[in-house]
Amino acid sequence: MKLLTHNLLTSHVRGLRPGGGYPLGIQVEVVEGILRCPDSGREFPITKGIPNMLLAEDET
Amino acid sequence: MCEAEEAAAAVTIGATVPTGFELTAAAEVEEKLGSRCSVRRDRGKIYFAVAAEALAQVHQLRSVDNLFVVVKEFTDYQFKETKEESLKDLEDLVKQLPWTDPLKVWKLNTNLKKKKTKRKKQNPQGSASKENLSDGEGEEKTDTKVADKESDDQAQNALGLESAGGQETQAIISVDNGKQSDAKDEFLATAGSENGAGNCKESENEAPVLKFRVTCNRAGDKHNFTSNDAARDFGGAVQEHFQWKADMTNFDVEVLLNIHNNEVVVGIALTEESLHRRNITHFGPTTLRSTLAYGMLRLCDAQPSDIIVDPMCGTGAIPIEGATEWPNCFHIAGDNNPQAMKRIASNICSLLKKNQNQESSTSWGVSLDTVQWDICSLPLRTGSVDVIVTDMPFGKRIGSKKKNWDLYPACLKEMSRICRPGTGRAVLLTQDKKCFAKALSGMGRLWRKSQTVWVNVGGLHAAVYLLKRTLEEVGENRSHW
Repeated sequence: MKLLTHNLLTSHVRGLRPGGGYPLGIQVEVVEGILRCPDSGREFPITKGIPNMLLAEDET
Repeated sequence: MCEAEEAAAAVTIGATVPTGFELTAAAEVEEKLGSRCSVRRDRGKIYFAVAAEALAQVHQLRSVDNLFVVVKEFTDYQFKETKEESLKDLEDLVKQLPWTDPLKVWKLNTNLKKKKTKRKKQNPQGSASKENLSDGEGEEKTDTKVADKESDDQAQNALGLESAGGQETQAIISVDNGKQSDAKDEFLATAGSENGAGNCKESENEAPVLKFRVTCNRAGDKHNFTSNDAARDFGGAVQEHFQWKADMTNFDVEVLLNIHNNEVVVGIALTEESLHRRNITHFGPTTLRSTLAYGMLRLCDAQPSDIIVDPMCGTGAIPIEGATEWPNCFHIAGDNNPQAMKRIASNICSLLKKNQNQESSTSWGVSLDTVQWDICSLPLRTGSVDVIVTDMPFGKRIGSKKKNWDLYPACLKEMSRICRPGTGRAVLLTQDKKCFAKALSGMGRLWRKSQTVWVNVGGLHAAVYLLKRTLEEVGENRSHW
């Protein structure tokens, strides 16, 4: 995942304050990593450089 | 003619392009080759003249599927009253045609392809696109094995493998007026006259006889013969004239006979596999042709530093073409499907490998990134995207028409949110035009329809819509900056 993409990504978990969910905090270990929503703490995993931003049914 | 004169001599090239994008292709030709094109609208063909020495550049055009050199074009050919007479006319035509120069071009083209094969490793050309032709010829062993297989399949079976255009006139099978026959009935060496000793007129000192095949495409109501008939008889006359050997699969020369009402064009093919699979090594069920992807991207008039997103990217045909041809924009590909994620990751790997193989490049990175997401709830900041280009689910191979009724409005809504008001635009391909029209009708405040291009995708009548984002901002319940 490139830095520019990180700049555009935002957390879309339900119930966030306006303007919330951005920017996502990055935790990286080698190729795998995590993006963390600064408000809800929800973690989005990064696998092989591709962040998985899919939410579960109950989160949207 | 001395060599220099030969090189500079103009030759008329015909190119097949995705139907509907003829003008876009003509624009690319004018931009890159400086030649004005003659366009056969809605027929997927354009014609232009270039110097013979520019042949290599012609192969690098991104909007053309196949190329051929024109032997002769008749704009108002009068066919005879009976089938026998019409066919006899076509046979007699062969010896009157000016084959010499086109065959020289064919030879030049063949040598060009051979040179590329040899020079591939030391090729100092900078841009990725120039390697694509050699990919299509199957030199890179691992990466393009799949590509070759796919394009062979597609060429052999015009009835639609992946997204092979149903009306692509590069179908090997002779096509009658849109109806397709599976019988590979081009001219076969059934005449029996195996002539191993003869030389073709144009070969100087080649012992092996040239092998050829005739492909005929015929469209029109008033012909009294079929494309099979024409291919067979024309082929017979070609064999007589040149003493070449007919071979349907292992041919050197492919003669093209295109008949559209009273227009007849005789040509010699310059591409054997369609160029449109060039970027993709790993295919999915609905992978879009690169030429179609290119046409769509041209429509959006990308500016340097634009952020271009394909939120339903599948195998990534559009973003990969985008990153290759518009490297000063930033491309993001997204999809919800894990299979698609795998495929696009592989396709990007192949692209990176290809880039790294070329010398001199210190920056072999690709201006492209991938995210797995749900189009109905995109994790992107409001108004952060300049262009959205995507191939929406037709509801045939992926999803369903029923699902589209919910999906399309949800898509358009999210797209309007992430798209920059005022300057943003979207280029959307869909076959489900009804559903799209309904979804769009409720969004007049946010989107303005600017242009519609009618295209043919895998035999289906689809449309590409260019939408412009209005100045109106989307109501906020999400983050913004």
